[in-house]
Amino acid sequence: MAINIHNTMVIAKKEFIDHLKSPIFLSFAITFTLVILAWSYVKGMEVEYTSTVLGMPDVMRGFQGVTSVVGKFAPIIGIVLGFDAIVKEIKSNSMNVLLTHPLFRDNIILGKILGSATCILLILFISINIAAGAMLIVSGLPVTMQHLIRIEFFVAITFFYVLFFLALSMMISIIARKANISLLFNIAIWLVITVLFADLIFKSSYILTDSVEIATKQTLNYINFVPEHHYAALTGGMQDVAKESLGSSSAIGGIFDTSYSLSDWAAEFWPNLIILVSFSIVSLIASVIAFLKKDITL
Amino acid sequence: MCQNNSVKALLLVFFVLLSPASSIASADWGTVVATSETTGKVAISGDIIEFPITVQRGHNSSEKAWIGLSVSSAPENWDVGFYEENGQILFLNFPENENKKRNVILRVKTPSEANDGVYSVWVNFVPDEGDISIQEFVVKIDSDADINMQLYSAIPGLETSPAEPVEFIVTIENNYDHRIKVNLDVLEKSEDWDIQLLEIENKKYRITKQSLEKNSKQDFIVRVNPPIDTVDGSYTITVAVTPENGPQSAKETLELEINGNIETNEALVLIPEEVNLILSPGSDSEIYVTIKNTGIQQLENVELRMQDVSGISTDVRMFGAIDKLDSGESKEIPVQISVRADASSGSKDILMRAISDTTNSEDGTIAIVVERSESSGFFGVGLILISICVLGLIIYKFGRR
Repeated sequence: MAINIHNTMVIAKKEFIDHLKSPIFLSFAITFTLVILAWSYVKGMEVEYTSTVLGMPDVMRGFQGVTSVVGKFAPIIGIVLGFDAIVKEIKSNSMNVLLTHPLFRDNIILGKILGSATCILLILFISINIAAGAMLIVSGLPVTMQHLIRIEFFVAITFFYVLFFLALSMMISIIARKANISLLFNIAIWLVITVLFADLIFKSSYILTDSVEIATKQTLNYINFVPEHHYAALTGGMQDVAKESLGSSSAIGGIFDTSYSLSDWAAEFWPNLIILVSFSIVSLIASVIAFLKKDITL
Repeated sequence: MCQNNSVKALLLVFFVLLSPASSIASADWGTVVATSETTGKVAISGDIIEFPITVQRGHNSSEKAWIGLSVSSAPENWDVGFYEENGQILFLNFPENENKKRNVILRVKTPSEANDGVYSVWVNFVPDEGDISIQEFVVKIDSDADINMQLYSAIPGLETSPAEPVEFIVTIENNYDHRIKVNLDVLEKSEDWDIQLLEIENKKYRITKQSLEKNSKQDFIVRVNPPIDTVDGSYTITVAVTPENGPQSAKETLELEINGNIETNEALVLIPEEVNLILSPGSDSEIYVTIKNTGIQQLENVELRMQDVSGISTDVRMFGAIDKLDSGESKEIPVQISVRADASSGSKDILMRAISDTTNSEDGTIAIVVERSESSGFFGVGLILISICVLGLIIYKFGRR
């Protein structure tokens, strides 16, 4: 078992380094960092709006507006890391070469997941913290340690959210025969889950029932089946990151609402947290099983 | 009684018709004689003119006597008649042993369309015994005649501060021998000034017309509300009264001295809870400002006004104005002061003033010192340094293939 862990770590390390040197991934990571930086700065300066409308009087107001942007675009990090993780190895026959070594399949898939997950965590940690640091320096807003803890909680929640898309993209990469098809499927799924899901449900329901109330009610029921809803609730107290008209999910405005303590936040949102983490773990398990069942020789 | 009067009237006509020669003679002798000191007056068309006439016994007699009063000639559409206290009269009776003089008025109502000119009214005084007296009364209608009224104020000059109303008491004096109705107007005032002509009794109603008894006076109030932005200086207000039937007016000019430094602000005092506040960009603070009525009168519609400065906004948390603030009473008003996240560092003064319907306080100041939070710079640099260190470490450790 010790050997297995060592093998897994070697593959994870290799995967991590490959990602770090991938120009596509690096350019995306830089873009993502800049977007967060710009948004957090702009939102942080909107003191009148956030303090009177959102009722958030401190530095956290900047991140309140960022959650929807991160919620929409952070999943792409997972997709970029995972869409060709397996199919590329199979197509280049390196998977067969790899399997000639004293390695189990679970070592390979777990190593790849671990390497990519570490990379996601690194990118989120650096991009969000640099953005936060820059905003704090420019704004001069008072900060306490509790605010920093909230920012790191936000990094952790976003990590689990992106992990779901990493697992999903890896599973599609295992199933798909070509990398471009895998990418296409991943983008389609990302679009549907993060951007269109609530709107699609709402409009379909509205067409069938001709009632806004029923359509809204049904939409609120169905969005429980996507991790994006739980992420939106945890980070911004919203029902959906894309469809703001659905309103708030709670009186607490998410992790950045400093009107409430972190324990209040945890007491309110623990079901969402568990469901979000469960989504990630279940999809990871599914991708591992899919790889173990995969016929590599085909 | 009525039949008795009819008989007397017939007798009067009989005497008038049958005695033309004596009608132009003066009243040499009679049981009762009528005399008038004023037999000519100047008026404007539409006026009512009154000629006082004294009626008394003509000689020492204690017997019963009477005199008939009649108008023999008057211009067309003129309304002429004799009046005593109880109304219009035709005869005056003097009972036995009654020697007291009687005062009678010959009232002439001129038509409003009468042209300028001299008009005569002829009247007959017919005693029961003696000579008939015929008297001419002359009325000159002159539209340019001086108005026989006065408009004046015992105190026509006052001093006040901007936004503090003052009241002049102005008197109309009717020197006519008859009742007159006049229009009241403000002829001259500064633009945007609110001038009210008010009833003296309760100061509640605005006056536009006033009716005055003959030879009487009537006071009214001229309330002046100078706007709050009025520049110091001397201002004049001219009020006028014009008889309804005449073009002439009586005017009075009132002078109001506006002095912003006059000590009228004692009635309202502002006491802020804090006069110096240190705030970081993006932060806010709530303070209380106390408004106190130190005057002796109740103040109405008292409100607190704050002046925003660049980067700092204020929110006075009260529902409209305080309806009434009694003498000695005070109210605490919460004020939210917010500093914008992009506010520049430095000290800024927020001006505030309490205003009521009748007075305002001195300007108060709250100094806001905007200071960037030291913690934000410390934590900001720290976050960036940690991120860069982590990135450097990763690249150092995993940068090689």
